[in-house]
Amino acid sequence: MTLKLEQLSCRFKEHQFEYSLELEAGEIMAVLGASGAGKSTLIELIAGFCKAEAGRVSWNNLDFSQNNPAQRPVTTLFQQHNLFNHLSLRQNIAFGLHPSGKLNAHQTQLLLQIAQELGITAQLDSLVNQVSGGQQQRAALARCLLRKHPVLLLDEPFSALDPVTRAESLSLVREYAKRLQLCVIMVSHSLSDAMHVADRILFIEQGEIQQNSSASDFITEPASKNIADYIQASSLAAVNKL
Amino acid sequence: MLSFNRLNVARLAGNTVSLFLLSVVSLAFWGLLSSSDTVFWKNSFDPYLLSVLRFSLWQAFVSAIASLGIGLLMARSLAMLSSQFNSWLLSLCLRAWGLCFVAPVILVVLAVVSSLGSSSSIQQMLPIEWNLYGLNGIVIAHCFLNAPLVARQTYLLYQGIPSRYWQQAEQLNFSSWQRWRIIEWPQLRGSIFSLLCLVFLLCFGSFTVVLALGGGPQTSTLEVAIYQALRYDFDLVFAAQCALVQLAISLLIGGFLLGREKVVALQPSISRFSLNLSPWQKLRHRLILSSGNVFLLLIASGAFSSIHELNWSNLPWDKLAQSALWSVSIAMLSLVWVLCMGLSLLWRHYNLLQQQRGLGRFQELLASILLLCPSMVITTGIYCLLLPIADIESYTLLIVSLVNALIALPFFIRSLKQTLHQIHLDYSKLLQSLDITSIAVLRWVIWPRMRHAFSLACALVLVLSIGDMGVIALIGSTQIVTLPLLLYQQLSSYQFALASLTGLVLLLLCGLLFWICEALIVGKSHDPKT
Repeated sequence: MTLKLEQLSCRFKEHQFEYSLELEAGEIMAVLGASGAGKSTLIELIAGFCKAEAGRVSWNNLDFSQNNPAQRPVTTLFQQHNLFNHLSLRQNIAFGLHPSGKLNAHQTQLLLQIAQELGITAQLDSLVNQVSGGQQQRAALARCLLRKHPVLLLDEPFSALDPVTRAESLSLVREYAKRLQLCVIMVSHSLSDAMHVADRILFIEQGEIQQNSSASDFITEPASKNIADYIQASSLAAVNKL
Repeated sequence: MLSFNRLNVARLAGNTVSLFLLSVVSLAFWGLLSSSDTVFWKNSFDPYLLSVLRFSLWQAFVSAIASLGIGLLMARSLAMLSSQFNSWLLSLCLRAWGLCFVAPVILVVLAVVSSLGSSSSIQQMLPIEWNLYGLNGIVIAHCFLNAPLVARQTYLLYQGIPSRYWQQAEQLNFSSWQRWRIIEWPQLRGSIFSLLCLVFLLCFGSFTVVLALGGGPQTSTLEVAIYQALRYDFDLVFAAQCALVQLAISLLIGGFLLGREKVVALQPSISRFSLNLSPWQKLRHRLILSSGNVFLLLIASGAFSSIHELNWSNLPWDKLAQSALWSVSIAMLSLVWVLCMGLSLLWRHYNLLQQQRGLGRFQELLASILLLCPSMVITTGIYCLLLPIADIESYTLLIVSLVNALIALPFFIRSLKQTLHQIHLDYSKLLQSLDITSIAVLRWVIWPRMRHAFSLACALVLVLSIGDMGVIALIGSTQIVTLPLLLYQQLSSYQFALASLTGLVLLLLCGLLFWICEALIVGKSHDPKT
């Protein structure tokens, strides 16, 4: 079971983006790089929000590059606007089980089960604005997990959370990825988050993959001076925080 | 000390203008009250007044529903297709919709009559006989004026929907109905009812359209009844009573509207995301959008369709020139009024902002009342008040320009207040820390940010004033005939070719005034912030 990108490319204004990579089921890949490097574009290309000009993206050798977002084996968690603010958490999560949001008894049971696992049962009937940011993202994660798609894309969903909640959320993602054998690609600005959760790290610069290695190799064997500088700057920032 | 004096002068200017405005409105109201027959209110309503009231409400309701329906459909289609349009095409569409709303009403009437009247080619192609005059014509003209306004406002609301919502809908495989129910309706519902009330209010206070397209006493509205009572029957009591009923209903609906008013930060979402529509959905949206725009274009093109029938060697140029001169004079005078009153109120507003206070409640209330008072009501009040004590014809220019200014003042203030507020939000702390002189603040901070909005606000005042026919028709003398009034007279005597020419002159004049305002005030400078 492999997610495979083969010279998947697109153009936005004057920038050209092209990606090739492979990721096994159960693996977590963190995508790092400067702002505007093309991290979110990678996510949007896989999710189908941005149409690819060339190349293919496949799951288990089945090409889905021409499919609509809903027909892809992919589910996405964004940084914000994951939930419809005027609906309750229950209604938002229900869309993960049925497009109309109307659930049968079995589906309701599934919803309650995931809510319990993620610790948001008490907030299920609250409106989005009535719960904390962490609970909102857990509800969005619950919906993603209920969709049972094998590829989970995370576009900095936890970056606005406090460090403790963020670490908890990342641990949850890791736990579910391993348990459900999900293929996870996570865009992040934080090297420490990437080290905390990811098996592999991808570094992107100007729309091209500069390094794709295991998390430990990324630190010990940076592929270029830019990456080494990036690691040093991230480490310094972490030390300064301390 | 300097700052203390500055505050005092601003307060004095603001309060003087407020007092003046309050006096004008109160005197007009007093004029109406003193003229209306008190016995009348004790007895039941006059049957004619009741029938007029019924038709006023009915035509406004039908026009508002039709405008809302057409506008909503057009806005939704544009929003769904916007990612497929060039930005210039999108901007052209929105500008054209904006122009429909500020177009002189009598010009729209001419366009409707020329394109859909009995001698029009469309009418001749229709298999059935169809009468434009009456409710049909009124609703069509109101739709032309207001549907684009609804479409424009609704499109802005659509732009406020986060692009992530659309992406969620794509990913969750929402149907078109679900998209509407879960994403679009929650965004629109807060404003749709307000928009409906606004259009209802505009149609309820519509004078020119009903006067020209009404077609008889059965299809008379309160404003037309006021006009007929004052100009033909000389029934001051009935006019005052109509005006009071009109005022009461306008205040009721308008008060509700203002109570619901909220400032929505309409940040256009810059997104690369385009909706994944099926070919059938794309076709449907294209058809709706094209039909709406063709309807507008068809009617607009009718305005000048008779111009080729003109005998160019024998045209009343002197009459046209004189009317144009009157129109420009009244518009200029209105602008002077608006500048004196509006800038004083804005100065006071800025000072109050610096003291961490908004525009005083009193001024806010006054501005709201002005916005809700139909021009015919104020004019009728002033007319009733002045008639026993003065020769109204001698003051026509003054009264018409003042009433036009009062109508345009809320628009002027509203279009500048937001920019002023933003300047305060952006720079107040910086300005306090730098302690720059007020002249320097005006020269280097306020003016560069305001000049574009200011030029547009001035142009809006001029165009609103130049296109108005109601006030001058009510109290104008035979000597003062503005372009809209001349156009109406030509339409009434079936001189369509001449009316087309007058309409063209009116339109060119509006364009020229817009251009002059932009050239004089904005100049060649380019300010990216504006």
